[in-house]
Amino acid sequence: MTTRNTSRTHWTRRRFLRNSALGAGAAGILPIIGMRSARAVQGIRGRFMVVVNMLGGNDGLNMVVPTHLSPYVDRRPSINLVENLPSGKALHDLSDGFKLHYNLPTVKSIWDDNDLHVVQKVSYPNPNQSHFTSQDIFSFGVRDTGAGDGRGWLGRFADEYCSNPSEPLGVISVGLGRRRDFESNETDPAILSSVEKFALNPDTNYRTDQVLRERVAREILAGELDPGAEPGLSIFQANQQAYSLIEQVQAETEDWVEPDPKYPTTSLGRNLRTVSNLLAGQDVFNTKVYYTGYGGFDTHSNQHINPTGTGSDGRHASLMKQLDDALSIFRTDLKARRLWDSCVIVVISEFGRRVFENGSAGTDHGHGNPFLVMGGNVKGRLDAGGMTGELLETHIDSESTVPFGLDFRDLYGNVIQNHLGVAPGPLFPDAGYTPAFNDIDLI
Amino acid sequence: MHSRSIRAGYVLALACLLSCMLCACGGGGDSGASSTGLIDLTSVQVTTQAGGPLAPFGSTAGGDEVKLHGRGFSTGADVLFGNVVASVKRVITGEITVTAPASREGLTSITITNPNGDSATFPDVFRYIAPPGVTRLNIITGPTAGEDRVPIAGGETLEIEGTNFKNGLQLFVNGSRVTATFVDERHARFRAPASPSEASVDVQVTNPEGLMAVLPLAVRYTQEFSLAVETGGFPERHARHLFRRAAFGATPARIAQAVSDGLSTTVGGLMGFSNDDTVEDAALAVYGGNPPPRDSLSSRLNRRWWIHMLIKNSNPFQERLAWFLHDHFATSDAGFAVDANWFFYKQVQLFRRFSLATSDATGDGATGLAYNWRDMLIAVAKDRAMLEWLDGRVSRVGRPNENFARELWELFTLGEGNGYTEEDIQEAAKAFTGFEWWRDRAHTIYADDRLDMRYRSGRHDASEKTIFGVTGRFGYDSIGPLYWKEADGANAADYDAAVDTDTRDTDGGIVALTLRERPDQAAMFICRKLADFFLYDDPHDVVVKPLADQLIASNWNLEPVLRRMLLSRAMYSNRAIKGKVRNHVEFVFDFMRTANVDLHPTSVVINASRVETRLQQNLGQVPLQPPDVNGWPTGTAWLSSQGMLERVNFITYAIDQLDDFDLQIVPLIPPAGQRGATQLVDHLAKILDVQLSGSARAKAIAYVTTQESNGTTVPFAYNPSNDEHVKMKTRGLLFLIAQYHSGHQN
Repeated sequence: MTTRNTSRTHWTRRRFLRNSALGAGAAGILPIIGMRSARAVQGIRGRFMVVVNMLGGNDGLNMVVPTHLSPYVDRRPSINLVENLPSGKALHDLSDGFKLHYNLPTVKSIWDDNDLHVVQKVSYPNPNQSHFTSQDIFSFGVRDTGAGDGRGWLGRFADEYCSNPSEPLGVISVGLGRRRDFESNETDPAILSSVEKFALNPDTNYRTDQVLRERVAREILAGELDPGAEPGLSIFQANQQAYSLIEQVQAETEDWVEPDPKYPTTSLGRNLRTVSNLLAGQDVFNTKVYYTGYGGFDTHSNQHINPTGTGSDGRHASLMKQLDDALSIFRTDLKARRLWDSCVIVVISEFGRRVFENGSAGTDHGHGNPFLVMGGNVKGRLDAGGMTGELLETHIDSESTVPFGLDFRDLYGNVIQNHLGVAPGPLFPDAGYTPAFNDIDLI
Repeated sequence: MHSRSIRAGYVLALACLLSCMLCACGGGGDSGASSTGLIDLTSVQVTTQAGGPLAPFGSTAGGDEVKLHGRGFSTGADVLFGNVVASVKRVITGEITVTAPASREGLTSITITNPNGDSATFPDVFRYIAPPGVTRLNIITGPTAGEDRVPIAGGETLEIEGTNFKNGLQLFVNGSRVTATFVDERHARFRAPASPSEASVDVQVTNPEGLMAVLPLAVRYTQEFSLAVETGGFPERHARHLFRRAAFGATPARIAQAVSDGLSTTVGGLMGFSNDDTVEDAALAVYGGNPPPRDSLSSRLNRRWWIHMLIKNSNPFQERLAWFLHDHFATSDAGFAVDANWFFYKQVQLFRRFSLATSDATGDGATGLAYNWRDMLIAVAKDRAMLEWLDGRVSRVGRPNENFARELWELFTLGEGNGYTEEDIQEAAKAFTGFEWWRDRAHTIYADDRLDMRYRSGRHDASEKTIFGVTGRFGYDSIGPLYWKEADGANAADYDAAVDTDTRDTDGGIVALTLRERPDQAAMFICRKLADFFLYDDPHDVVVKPLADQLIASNWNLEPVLRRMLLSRAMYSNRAIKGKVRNHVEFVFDFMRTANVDLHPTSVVINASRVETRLQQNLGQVPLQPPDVNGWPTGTAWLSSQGMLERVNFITYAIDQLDDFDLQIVPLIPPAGQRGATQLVDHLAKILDVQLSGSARAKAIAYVTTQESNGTTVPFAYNPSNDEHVKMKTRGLLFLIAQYHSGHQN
């Protein structure tokens, strides 16, 4: 099911050996309010990307269903969505025999608006079925993660496009904690779970003295000349970053109003709500990438309709519903604020799952996977990414999984180049990877 | 680089190049030298350099003291070395003392000119030699090759790098000579001498003629690789470190006790104990019930009970190890049905009894595992929560589920791909078959319809399997009658027998097979994790291997391995102390234990429930819900902006609540008469074991004597005898000091 990364400390050691940052860190306590870049903003102003990571390996074959392919039905008799639809539910047409899961009506609506691009068989060369290895490949943007420069692709993005002068909110992790995608030499990523919680609480017994305490805390941070060896140095910088961000975030987002109906209280619902909230400060933050997602996709068992009929449709169906319900509010929200055209949502997962169901009414790890790209600026289409035609029978190989077709980096690169307006090349420095951002036409 | 004079000079007689008339010089003393005759130089004496075939010589850097002996010198004479003016220090009859100027390598002339204009030049009478220079030390061999510190045991090949080294040079480390290998004019090598401590020492390079250079503090020693017993006393700093690693912090009183007892006694007390039934019973009574209900235990209650134990158990090492095991086996209760949450209660108790003697038991009556790693693995394979989590309970003959087989090796015992193949996994999956969910509706074992697991031999694949190249009838391991004895009712004995062994598995269990066939990998794997947890991040094989060998030799008993680590010099090395980043749980629990916050179960103000809520809703680290099968992350993963903010907010919350118990802040305050601003700051920093920089300390002290007024800082007449003043500023200092970067280091 998963892999422990025995070299997980590779990145911590690299970070610990970082010796360049004392000057940058100490000098880098950021101006608190009203920060603006002194030089021209990189990229097309106002545009942003939202990455939604379905953690655990999404069963893409049940998300974008190839109803026209008999192996799909034959090899998963009890969980295929051609024969096992709950009563009253129907799949949603895309094109050429592909249909969306019955719990994705919003995605279908986005398709009808020509704002959805489905890319099949997305993965990377020599696919690996370990969660940890696959997630690392996505995070670091290199196939051989042990040989990379130790930075995540968003870390490189921040270093390249958000760091001089500092735009600490140029890339933001929302609700997923600190992912490896953000590892960087120069930049400490902004990690938020919600905007409301991103504030210092007062000592209610001494509110006035609390004001002084916070002032002194900032003075201590600003006056620290030598935080010493690691890990003290990293902690010190994290403290600086936190204090600096607190004030900026609160100040710039105070005008936000939650839409009605509200965001769902699911994981993804809360995360997209936070993205929506942060967008209120977009003019100042100039955020280019919001990175979020939700988990639970490792459906080795009980993926399908609950046989006891207690009302649950199975784990995968409820995950699809969570995606759709959250996207529904998000899309309406962004359209109302005229942000839909500035936004591109990319829904990803570290691998797809096998065509064959296993003995526990679930599926095991696979390779290629359909990614969804959505937004006002997106060209509506369904394609197999890098290959002409749609997913064909021969593309389901003898190991019974969908093979690798399009490199995820080409997909990201196309969005970054054509929507965000910056060069994707520096983000994926992998000698074994030849960029082909223009082989796909998303924007 | 600098040179020092180390030996007395000497004199070389020179043949006069000019004939001269001796004259009877009158006078004497420092002044009043006069000459009525020609200038003659009979010898050149360099007092600051050694003798030898190259003498008289001095360093091209200048600075050597040179005495020119001869006659005809007058007061006020000038001296040139070549064309360069030498500073004249003294002129007496027959002797001029000068400081040689800097110049180029080679022989040079000396010119002496009297004030009356008489002058004489003596060619090639002084030699300039370039001294060596030293720039850096490189570590060539050993576990720290390429890094910046040398193990105290010594023996590694070290290289001094610099300029102008000469064959025949000598090397001195900390003033003692070492055997030097001349490599080239920029490199020389030597073996690191052993050192008794982690102090850094100088390296000196001396060329054959005697010119030298020193690289101060070039060799930095570390004891991080030494598993020898630490014998250098047990200061407070070490005691606090031990309790941070082997427990979740300790009160000032406990630290004082530990220092008084010494290291060995303290470790002995931490590791040898009986189950604290009093605290356990009290915690269970409040959270969930004693015993907890089998069919309706909420996961939150289960968590709160354990949080209470983590903070309040009088045997903190028991909980610390349980936490390690919880992280290692990384089972999450997210998604468990309410009638299966009891499985998690049992799993926590399993981890808690790892460190108990076999004659002792946790509150659920299950007996200790005496630190035995093999027995823990065997018990985990049959643990109910694990069977649910990794699909053991759906795995049956004909439809084996490989999840547990894979993770047993990949995550729990060997490491990814380390000694097993995909085929081995498929075969082992067949062995891990037989368990299922079960409700005892016929009440044959239990008195009620509780949900449990049971083993049905009809579901077990008893065929021959080939694993690690060995063929046999393998299944679940038996742990003997110690395990799963909680069944009540008339048929309890039958139940145990059915669970513990399937008699068809004549070749034993997978755990025993794994440890038998892959002992080195298994021992290295768990010892590396333990060394990482207790010592420091990324331990080198040099320190892991002896522990692994010891584990195998002790038949998988981890007690001697753990003891050795906690007593070792490595444990108290500079690398280990404060070398890790605290996760949120450690940050919160350490603060609460250190500040001795009273976690009274029925308190509505601050109790395990409140702590659990804050951990979950604010900090985002929920015990029993690790984010993925790799358990909790480590290091800078915890330093997100939100995380840092929420830690500060937790301190504020805890401080806020303390006041309602009013007395709780008292143990943190120094005695009356010692509450001045500086004393207050130093006292609190010491309790929290936070090392403030000079700048931070000054600001903290200034905070005590200032106050806020309309957006600016104004003076405050702090009175150390005023309890309200002291309380307010103590709370503020806790806020400032606990969030300082040293406060996040474990």
